[in-house]
Formats: sequence, structure tokens, C-alpha cells
Amino acid sequence: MEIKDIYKSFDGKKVLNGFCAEFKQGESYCIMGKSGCGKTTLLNIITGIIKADSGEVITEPNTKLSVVFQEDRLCERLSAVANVRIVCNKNCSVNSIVSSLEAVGLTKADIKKPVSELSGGMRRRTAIVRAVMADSSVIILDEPFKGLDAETKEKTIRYILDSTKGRTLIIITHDEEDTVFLNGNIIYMNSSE
Amino acid sequence: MPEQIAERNSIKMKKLLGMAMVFVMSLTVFSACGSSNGSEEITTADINSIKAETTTSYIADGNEIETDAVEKRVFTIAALKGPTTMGMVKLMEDSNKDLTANDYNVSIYGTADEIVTGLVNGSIDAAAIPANLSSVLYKKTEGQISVAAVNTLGVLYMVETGDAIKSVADLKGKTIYSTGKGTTPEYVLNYILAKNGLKAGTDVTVEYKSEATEVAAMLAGSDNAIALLPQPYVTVAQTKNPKIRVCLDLTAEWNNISDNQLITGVLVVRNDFLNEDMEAFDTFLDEYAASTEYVNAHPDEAAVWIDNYDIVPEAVAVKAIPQCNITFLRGADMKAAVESYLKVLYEQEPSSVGGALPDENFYYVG
Amino acid sequence: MRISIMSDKKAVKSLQYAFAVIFWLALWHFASLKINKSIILVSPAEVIKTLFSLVRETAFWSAVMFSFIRIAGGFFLALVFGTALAVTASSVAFVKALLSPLISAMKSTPVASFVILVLLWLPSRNLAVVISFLMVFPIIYTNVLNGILNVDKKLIEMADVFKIGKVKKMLYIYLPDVMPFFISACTVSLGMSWKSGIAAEVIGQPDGSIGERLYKSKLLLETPDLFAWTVVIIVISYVFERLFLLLLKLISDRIERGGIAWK
Repeated sequence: MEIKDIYKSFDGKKVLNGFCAEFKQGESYCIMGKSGCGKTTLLNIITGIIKADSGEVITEPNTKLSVVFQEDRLCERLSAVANVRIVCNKNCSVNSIVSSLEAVGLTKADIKKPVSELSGGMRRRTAIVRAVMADSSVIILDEPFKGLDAETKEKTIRYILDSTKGRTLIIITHDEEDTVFLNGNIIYMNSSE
Repeated sequence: MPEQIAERNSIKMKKLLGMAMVFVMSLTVFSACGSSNGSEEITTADINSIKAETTTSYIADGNEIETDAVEKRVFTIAALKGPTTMGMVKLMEDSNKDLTANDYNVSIYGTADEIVTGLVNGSIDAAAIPANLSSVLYKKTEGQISVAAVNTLGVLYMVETGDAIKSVADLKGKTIYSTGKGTTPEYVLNYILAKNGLKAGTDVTVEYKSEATEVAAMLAGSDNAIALLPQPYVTVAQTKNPKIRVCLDLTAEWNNISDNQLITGVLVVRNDFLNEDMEAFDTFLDEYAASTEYVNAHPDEAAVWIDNYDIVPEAVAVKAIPQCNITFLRGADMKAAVESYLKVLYEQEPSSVGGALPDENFYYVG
Repeated sequence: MRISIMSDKKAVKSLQYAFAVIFWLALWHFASLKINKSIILVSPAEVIKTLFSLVRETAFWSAVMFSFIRIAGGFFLALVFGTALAVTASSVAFVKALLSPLISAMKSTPVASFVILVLLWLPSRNLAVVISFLMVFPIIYTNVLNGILNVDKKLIEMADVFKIGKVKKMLYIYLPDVMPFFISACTVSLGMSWKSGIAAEVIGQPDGSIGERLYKSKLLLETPDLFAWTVVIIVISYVFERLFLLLLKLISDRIERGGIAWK
């Protein structure tokens, strides 16, 4: 995927000022930057939720994306299993979903409840499993480890690295430590870069 | 979060009764009104005694007068808006001008519901109602009313906008629009059809509407529609739609097949009221009879009054009066007519007369 | 210890309700004794007696069937059309704009006006279907439409990013959020369809309907029948409402557990 010269302004304020980047298939990338420098806007443009003022996002044809959103965006009334199942195609078995959720630390009891009853950390992990298990070639995660304690975070990172071989990983974060774990290429974003 | 919508269904037509409404209403109405023992309400008895006092004292002061010290008894009379009231209008006029022997307070109602209630709770003394309703009421009040006179014979006519019907037999296979489901029109029509070898529902389709205006609308919408309407509404419809012509006179058809008379309206009276002063009541009957004669003899004059009392417009009334068969039968004639008419109804459908034919005590023959 | 207190509360509530019912029945009974004129008010005992003799008539059951099928039919038609049009209107702005004044008019027109108009155009036989439909349709339409428009935009975006298929989107994104709106619309309109349907039948008196029997009992001053039929109507309305809402709850629960699409 290639990002070319993206410009985006809101209310006259320039948020993205000619941003460029190239993401090679199968590699991991961390996009780092302080809050407010446009990371989430970039994400929204890549996923097509909003349109850039100018510039393009070039991808291979039929590239499927999956995303972990900052706000989780889970179906509140459905269980964790059901939430993951929705985005999977028929190849996914319930068992594989269950074991994935358990791998990131959710118990059998947790995954049967509606996600509205889960803690913030559990919801976040559900969103991560959902993004990983979806049949995508590019996975974008926006602040995925927010709200996770150290032990859980490690489990989750392990799970991500184990399950996403061959796929492009883009992680948006502001925590320097994460980049060490993920061992990926780092892209720094400054305000209006 | 889901939208709260409070939908209120306000149903204003008198014909619709909600259980709770009847329940609550009856409680409040009847605890307030009480029976004719008169708690707070001034009854006719009270008015009569007041009048008696004042009349007597007047006579005591002045010179002796030849005429009787006539106490004007007050009659609270109810009537239905329609042909059965038309014979009464002279009486009403005269009473307003104080020319009658008694004082007649006549109220005209759109439906019989209030009249029934009034007769039952004593606020109405006498009423002009459909003949079959009088029998039903007799049964339901367990004999507290009597029938005193017949005031209307047949008023039903078959009309059409086309030219197809020359006799009852021509009705076969046709659709007739009518009012009065469950009352006089239905019974009369079914009887006449049956005696002419036709069965309502199979040989003839009858579609009942709830108002004469709806029937008129059906007539307006078609060039060969057939309908059953009572006078004066036939004339009303004809005024608005000249294509309507009368094709059958049901009273005549009835007379062809039956020895007894087709009657529509009767006069009933509460027995309690009657027994208080039978003489005054007989006088009332005399005056009512005279009123009926006058109306029949002077339709132009009567039409004006009928218009004033809001029954039908003057122009309609003038034409309709002769066709309304306004009459006055009392005594033995009345009894014979009512008895035989009720019998016809009873044989068709016993509940139409209240489940059983009334006994002798139903008839006030004077 | 806690559990017994909870079920005691429930028991107390039901007991209170029972007492309230008995109170009103007793009041009714005494009122009917005081008035002592069976034309005006009959005692509860007599109503029950009349009810028992009514249920033995075949005509009773055919009248109940007649009216029930028509009113329930109108209700279901309104469900189908109301929902279908709401779905259309949510994505086609033209439809939404076109229907908007029509729906407002339907909501504010009183039942009686509808009945009189419909009777001018149609025979009375299927009056209850039409009236029931006319009363329920605007409520279903409005509520479902609002439910759809209220679905979290963020979830829809998520579904688009993940390229979730249309069917799944409908079942799992839209349906759970629209369901509460739909259920509340049904709750309101169930009772209304029944009341307005019967009211229409009383005016139009289709042969063999409950409304006709109700009207006839008034006409012939059969007050016990009048009360008995009213009780029948209340019972049917209540049963229908309970059954339908139960069915709805079962369906919506199944959906929430994510069980519908796959075994």
C-alpha cells in the first residue's frame, strides 16, 4: 500500500500536510506521534471513512483491511464470539475463535456475555481478535494496547505476532515501548507533517 | 431511548360504549341523579305541585271563574329526529304558546339511547319510539312502560337511480343499500322479501350503512343503484339527486301480503307517570291526535315548524308529510295494530321484540 | 435470606394487584345492586353467567374468529408494510419525504373519520382489516424508521471497513438497535388495533362480527350481553398482546445471542 501526498484540513486547520508513506506487504510498521497530530485522521482516510482533500491511497486490487478502532466499535448486545464471527467467513470455526479469545486472556465465561458487560480491556482484546481473525491482508491497529496491564499486553502482542505472519501490520501508537516489542519499521508523525 | 408515543383514540360517536366508561359513568350519573324518589333533582311531581299551589291561590284571590282550576301537568316528552315526530309539531307549538291543557316539554334526540335511559330512570315521562323498541323496553324494564298510541304507519320506500324495479320480484339478484340494521327496516324488508319468495342474503344482497347520507352517497355513485330509505330522507336525497325515483312503497307491499298494518312509531309512557294522573294523560292523547290531524291537513304550515325544530328543511317536509303516513291510533285499534305487527317481528326474530311477545298489561287502551 | 425477600416482594405485589381487582369488582357489584335496573348496570355475577352461556354458542366462536382474523390480519399487514417502507425510506430520501405528510395525517386522523370514509368506499365485511391497518401502520413506520436512523454510525462504518455482507449487516448491526423501537411500537399498537378494529365494527356492523354483536346487544337493551362481550374483547386483546410480545421477545433474544444465522 502506498500513501501519496495526502492533504486534509478541518475548519481551515491543516491536519495532514502532504503525508507520504509506503507499506510493503508482510512487514510491520509503527506510526508514532503525539496526540492530535493526525494519526486517527490518517486511519480514517485509509479506511475510506473520510475523504482526503487531495492525494491518494494506492493499494493492490481486492485488498481487504481490518481495523482495531480507538472506540472499539463492537456490537454491544452480541457476545465476544459473535462479534468476531460476524467478520469471519465460513472458514472460521467457533473453536478457533474461542481459542484465540482465550489466548488473549478472556475466560470461557467472559466470551459468552454480551460485550457491554465486559471491561474495557476485554473489549479491546475482543476487537483485536476480531481484526486478526478477519480475512485481511492489512491490519491497522489504532492505540490497541490502551487499558491493558503489562501481563495482558504481553499476551496480546504475542498473539498478534503469532497470528499475523505474512500480513501487513500497521500499529498507531504513542508509546515508545511498543515499538521494541513489535520490531517493526517506525514512522514518525509530527504535527502537520 | 425508544420513542414513547402516547396515542389516544378519542371516539366520539354515541353508538360506541367502552366498558370502563359505562361503568364509571353509570356510577357517577346514577349516584348523582338517584331514582324518581328525587334527591337533588326537581321532578315533574314537584313542578306539578308548585303549579297547583300558585293556580289555586290565584283563583282564591280573584272572582270565581267558571273554568276548572286546571293544573297544568308537565309532560317531559322525548322524540326521535325523524318522521315519527312530525305529527307532534303542532302540539309542541301550541304548548309553547300556552294553548294546551298540559305543559309539553318535548326534546328531540338523534338516537334512542338517551331516551331509553330517560325512561328507565324516570327523567322522561313519555316518548315516541320505534314499535319494536317499545316491546323490548317493556320486557327489559319488567313492565314499567305501556304503549298508548301508534303515531306513524309505514315510512319505508325502495328507491333507485335506474329503471329496473317494478315489483318486489325484480329485486332478485340485486344489491340493496339500507339503513337500520337490527331495527325496523331490516325486519320489514326481510318479511316482505320472504313473503314474495325471496331470501335476504341469498336471493338479495342487502348492505347496511349506518346513516341515510351514506346510502345517498351510494345512490349518487351509480346509475342503477337500489336503496331502502325512510321518509323524509327519501325526499332529502331526491332534492340533492334528481335521478332518484321511488320504485316501491313498502307500506303498500306490506298491505298486499298481510292483513295487519305496518307500523313504525308508537307512543309509550312510564306507568308511574301514567298512574299519577290518567285523566291528564287522556287529554294529552286527545291533543296529540288533534295535532296529527292538523299536520296532515296543513302540511305547509307544519313544514315551517318541522324546519324550526330542525327535523328536516321546510321544502322537504312539505313533500314528505303525505308519504310519512302520520297517523294516530289509540285504544283497541292501537292494540290490534301493535299486537299483530309485533307478532310478525317475533316470528322472524324473537329478540327483536325483547324475546317474548308482551302481555295485556303492555297496552294502555284508555 | 436475600432470595426469600425478593420473592416476597413479588408476592406482595401480586397480592396488592389481586386486592385492587377485588375492590373494583366489589364496587361494581354494589353499584349494580343499588341501581337495581339491569338495563343500566348488571352485576359481575350476571355478566359471568352470560359469558358462560355465550361461550356455548357456535355463533360466539365464529364471531370471535371473524373479528380476530381481520384485526390481527390488519395488524400484521401493517407490520410488514410499515417495516418495509421504513427500510426503504431510510435509504431513499425521496420516499421518506413523500411519505412524511401522509404519515402525519394518518396519525392525527381519528378512528371515527377513517371508519366513516372507508364505509363509503368499501362494504363493511373487511372494515376491521383496513382500520386496524390504518391505525398501526404509521406507528410501526415511524418507530422503525427512527430506529434505523438511530443506529450508531460508527458501527456502520466498522461494518463497511470489514466489508461485512448485507445480510449480516442487517441482522447484527441494524436489527439489534431497531428491535427496541419495533417492540415498543408493537406494544403501543397491539391494543390500539384491537380497540379501533372493534369500534369500527360497531359502526359498520359487518355480519357475524364482534362489533355487530356488541351493537345489537345495545340496540336490544341486552345489557348483560353488552358487558359480557366487552369482557370478551378485553380478554382477547390481552391474550393476543401477551402472546405476540412473548414471541417477539423470544426472537429478539435469539438474535442477541447471535444465534440466528448459523446453527
